[in-house]
Amino acid sequence: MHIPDGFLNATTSIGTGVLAVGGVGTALRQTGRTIATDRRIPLAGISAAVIFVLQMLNFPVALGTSGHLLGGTLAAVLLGPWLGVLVLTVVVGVQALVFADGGVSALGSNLLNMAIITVLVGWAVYRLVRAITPARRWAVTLAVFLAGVASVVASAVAFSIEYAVGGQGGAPLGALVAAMTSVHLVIGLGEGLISALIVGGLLATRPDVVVGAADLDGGPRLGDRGAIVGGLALLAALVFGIAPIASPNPDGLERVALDLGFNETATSHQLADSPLAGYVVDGLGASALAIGVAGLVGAAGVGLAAWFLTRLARRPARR
Amino acid sequence: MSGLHTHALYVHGHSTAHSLAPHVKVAALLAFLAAVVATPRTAVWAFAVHGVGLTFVILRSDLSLGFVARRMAVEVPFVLFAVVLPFVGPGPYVDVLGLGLSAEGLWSAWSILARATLGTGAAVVLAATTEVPDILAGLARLRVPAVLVAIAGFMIRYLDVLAGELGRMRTAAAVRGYRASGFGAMRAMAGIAGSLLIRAFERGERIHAAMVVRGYRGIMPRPFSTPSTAAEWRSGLSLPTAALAVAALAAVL
Amino acid sequence: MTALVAVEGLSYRFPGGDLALDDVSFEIESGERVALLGPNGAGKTTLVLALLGVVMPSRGTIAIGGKALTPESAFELRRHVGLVFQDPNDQLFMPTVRDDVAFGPANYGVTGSRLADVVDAALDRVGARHLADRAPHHLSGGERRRVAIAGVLAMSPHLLVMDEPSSGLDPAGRRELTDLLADLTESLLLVTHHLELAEALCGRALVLDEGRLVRDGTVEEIVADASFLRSHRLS
Repeated sequence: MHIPDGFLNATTSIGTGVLAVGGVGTALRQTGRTIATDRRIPLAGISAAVIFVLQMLNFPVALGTSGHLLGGTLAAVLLGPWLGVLVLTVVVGVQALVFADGGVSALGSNLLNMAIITVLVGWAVYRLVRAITPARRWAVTLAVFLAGVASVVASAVAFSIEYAVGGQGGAPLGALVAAMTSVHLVIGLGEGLISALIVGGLLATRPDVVVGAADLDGGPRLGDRGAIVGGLALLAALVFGIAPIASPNPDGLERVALDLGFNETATSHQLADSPLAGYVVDGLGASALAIGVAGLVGAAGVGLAAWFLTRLARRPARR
Repeated sequence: MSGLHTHALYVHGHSTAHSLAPHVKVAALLAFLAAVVATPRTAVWAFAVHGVGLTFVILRSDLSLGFVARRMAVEVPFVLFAVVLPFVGPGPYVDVLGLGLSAEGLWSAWSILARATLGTGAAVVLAATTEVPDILAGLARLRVPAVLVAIAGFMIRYLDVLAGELGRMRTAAAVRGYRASGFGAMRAMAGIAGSLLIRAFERGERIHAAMVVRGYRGIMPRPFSTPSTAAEWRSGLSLPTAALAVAALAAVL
Repeated sequence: MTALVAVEGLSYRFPGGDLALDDVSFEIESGERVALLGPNGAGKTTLVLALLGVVMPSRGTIAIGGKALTPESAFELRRHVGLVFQDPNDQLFMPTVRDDVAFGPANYGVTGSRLADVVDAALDRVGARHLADRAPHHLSGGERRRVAIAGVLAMSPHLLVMDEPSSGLDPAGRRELTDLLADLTESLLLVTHHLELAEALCGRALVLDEGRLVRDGTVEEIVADASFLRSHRLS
């Protein structure tokens, strides 16, 4: 999913570039205080090498396709979210500049999708699931699995939004989103499964290396509120951004209908069904905003519910 | 070995492109890509000019067009994507060899293919004429944060070592009769990945000790840096300057 | 005269609770070449890391050139003790050989043309100046070993500590290494379980087993003592 040069227009390339610089800059600031004095620079470098190598291993997924690890969730749980962002940033950057894999002008989008969103969304989901489950090994493994799935799907959604906003056009957006998310849901299941198996194995043999589960042994929690907030904000933004694009607007179907002369019935049916049909064609209108807000409210609701459950779950343990 | 390609694209040579200061080359690549991305897609002639310019640089860099073309394999998934566009794009439709294809889809496909090819080709020139340590030094000169450059340095240094370890583990699994299939394959892969991670973390600790005993206190020294001359900047920026002029002209026309 | 290295009653306990070093005492004089022998797990590597202040002893003291090794003095004293690691891959972490050899002196404030001179001189001493612009992972095993030694020599240490320098080398590489080390003028602490290498280079040997110093004598007499060697898994 390394976007090449020219896939997105200049404005989008610059816009995602600015977002990526912001994200990486935040990660640099968050790690800056400690990174130089402890042993984390060589650790980060060698972890980047591991992730680069693991990204080259394909695993079979269902439906005759194969996927490979993105590694965002793994990096977040083993190194902490901010160092994880830096590690994936280096992986993606080196792929572009040294291996000509992924466009240099699309580096901002690629960093955003594969280094920032995968790690922060993975981390936020991981911590949310950990918050509502007991402090046990199986719960860590489950949380890693769900985080892995979410991180890959989030990355695919981000890609779809970028294409919708600043792609070269031509693709029916509804179909693109549907294809991207369904394929990446399957790949995400692979990512989640492998990440969970890896972390589960490490918890059994070397629990000390799983930084994100240090609390199991009574270790210190990471100071990571910013990362969780960042991950949740990204999730909300993705929901907000994708909702209008993904709403029932089967361009491909429309095309078929047009060819077959059924277009009128099809369109009127669609309009009857959904007040939002067709708006993608003429850009993001007021109704898109409404759906976005609805999505945002929904995401916030889930987050709040999780937070509330966390507090409920923790209270008895303290007494 | 294991079929993993961790070798950089560098090809030894003595061309002008090889001898340019690395930060000049990185800056030139960025400027050229900016021009390519900014060129309106309907200005087919402008892309042709970009292509001629890039071809000239490739040939002057002691690289063969075939080598650069082979390295473009990374674009393949997007080529497939582009090929689909004319068939699924919206109307109006144009008749091509008896097929009704979307005009918008055709333009999009052209745009993606042309720009991705120019972009990948230019990136390959940088990677093939610049040794990896020099690319890192160039990034440092362009003010990429030192922490990122240091992490990248460690990553590149240990890629081969780790790929070797991974290859040996896979061989060890294979000689004991392991055959990959289904969920078992994933379990085995996770096991190998876990061992790889633990070995890597332990190596990270040894590296850190090796740094400390030679006086490391948290700041990576950057002992030698390459100076660049005005002539180098002129030479390095000649292609991107031309490309930017072409892009500007195409936008006006 | 003050001993170059003075170790007194040194004990070290792993965070897990096992005793790695148990009441170890010895001195190394300037100009001496000493072999540190012992089976796997005897505590040799821990002792070496303690000499460089990477691990701090649980009990006992270490003095380098008469100055006590503490967390505060470690940075300054490390300059006098150069450690060559067992796996050169762990030690050659910079992108090029030149940068790697420069790493130590640069950390101690050497810059510019003086740094370049120091690097060239160190590479010359191991016959590796032609490798200066290469990346470490493109070198052969023997070349890596020599460059790693250059990286430590560039810091002008008084004592050179080598952890299993012959591991991973073929017979020719081992012979070249022996010749190279024989020509060095620095004091040497050679950690190994290869008796031939110790015999070729060192006059004196310390034998460590299960964290205790069980023998301090000439290499000749130790190598001749077959039952001692067998009882400490050295033959």
